[in-house]
Amino acid sequence: MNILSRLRRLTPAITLPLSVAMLVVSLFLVFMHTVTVRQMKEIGLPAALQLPAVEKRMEVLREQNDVAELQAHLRGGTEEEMLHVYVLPDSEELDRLLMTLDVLFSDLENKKMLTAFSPVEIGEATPVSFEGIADPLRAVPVTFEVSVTEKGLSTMLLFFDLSGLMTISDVLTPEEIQHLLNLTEEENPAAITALEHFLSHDLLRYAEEPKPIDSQLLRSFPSGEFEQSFRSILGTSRLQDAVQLLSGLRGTLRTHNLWPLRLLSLKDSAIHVDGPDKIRLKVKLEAYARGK
Amino acid sequence: MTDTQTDLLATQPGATIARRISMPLILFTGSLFALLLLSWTLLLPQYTNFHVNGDLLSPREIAIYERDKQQELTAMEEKRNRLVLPVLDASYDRLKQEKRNVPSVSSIREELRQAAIKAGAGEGEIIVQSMTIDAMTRAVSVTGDVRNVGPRSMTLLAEYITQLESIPQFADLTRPVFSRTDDEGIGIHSPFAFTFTLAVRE
Repeated sequence: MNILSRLRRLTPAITLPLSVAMLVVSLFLVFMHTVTVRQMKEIGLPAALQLPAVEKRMEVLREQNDVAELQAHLRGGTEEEMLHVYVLPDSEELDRLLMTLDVLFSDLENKKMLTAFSPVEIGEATPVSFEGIADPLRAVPVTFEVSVTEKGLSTMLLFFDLSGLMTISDVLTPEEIQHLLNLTEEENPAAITALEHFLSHDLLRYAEEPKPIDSQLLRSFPSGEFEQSFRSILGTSRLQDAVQLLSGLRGTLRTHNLWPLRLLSLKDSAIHVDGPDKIRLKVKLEAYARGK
Repeated sequence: MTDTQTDLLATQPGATIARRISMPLILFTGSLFALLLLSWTLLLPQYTNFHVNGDLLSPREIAIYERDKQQELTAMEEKRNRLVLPVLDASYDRLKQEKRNVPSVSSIREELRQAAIKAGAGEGEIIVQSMTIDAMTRAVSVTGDVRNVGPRSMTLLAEYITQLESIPQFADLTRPVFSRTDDEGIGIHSPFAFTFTLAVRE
């Protein structure tokens, strides 16, 4: 009543602008209510629904990182050494490169997949650079021509494709590796060390005896779901082709101490079909070495 | 209405209306404002804010919080991947990546074979005689011949080219010259030569 009597005393000159001002502020508040409710519906609620899953995944990753860090400390430097000596050497290492090609040609000849091959031309090394890579690299061009069968052609191309790859992880695509990591997260996060061990396994050793290495990993995952997905990923990956090729060559590669293979990249290729199962393949490869 | 009021309304209608509506208007707007202010300060936060680790976050704040957590998660994931797949050497890693980007001769040949089947060609009807691939420019040149189908060779070649054009990986395909010649040895045939560029996979 006190407020009412005080309000009555105010003249319209004061009350009307005050009313208009409060009406404007009220309309603004209504608008802000709408904005806030909409924000909650469109931004807040989806974010809040995501949070538990994100936090749970962070917890799993934290656990995996701790285990993987411990494992990383225990890892030796053998792979780095092999990489610097054989795969990406400091010198051009032409004798080893030629021996690798010689062994490949002989093996394909013995299997009746190769009928003739031209002399191997080795050009002058030229410096190559890649964005973001400070270390100087040289590329040695290697050119030759072979007459092969269809099977010989695919074997030779696969050999170049696999050259320089040392471990299982090198053969798998980043997507396949990510899939395996995701499966580990879902099935048994602590088994990250088993997966790490599997991925860093030497490719030739795996080609010699894949089953025990697969079993070693699968023991960490008791559920059949992981095994099913694991078999499906490996079945469609290049790993099967790699196992098939390297299991046939492993004896020769070991005898001549050619493993790991020198990293070769296919630059140009020309295929000419001379007749049924008679293909001429001319290739230009690049073998890489460190330094200027 | 008294005479005085009637007179006043007649002489100063605006002032009279203003005086009459001023009281209800201020009461209405005042109540509305007070209710909305109460709702804004007390009621709305109860229904639109979120309790996260003891803090009360607005929708915008929780979205920012969730985005930060996602970034943290990505960083943790990258760290995990680095630990599981250590980069032995940056140059080696880059060269492996370059190798992965090199066009696969086998898969290109398989695509050409599949296109021939889809075009309705039988065994030995579309023959790819040569194929050259430049890995640097990703340019592919193909030469070949359509034979053993009689006068239908040009139609089959056209269907083959249509099939090849529908392959997303084969970009900028230059159509061959469509011709038909009669050779004593191989009969009616349509030789072809075309080029295309291999699209980079996303």
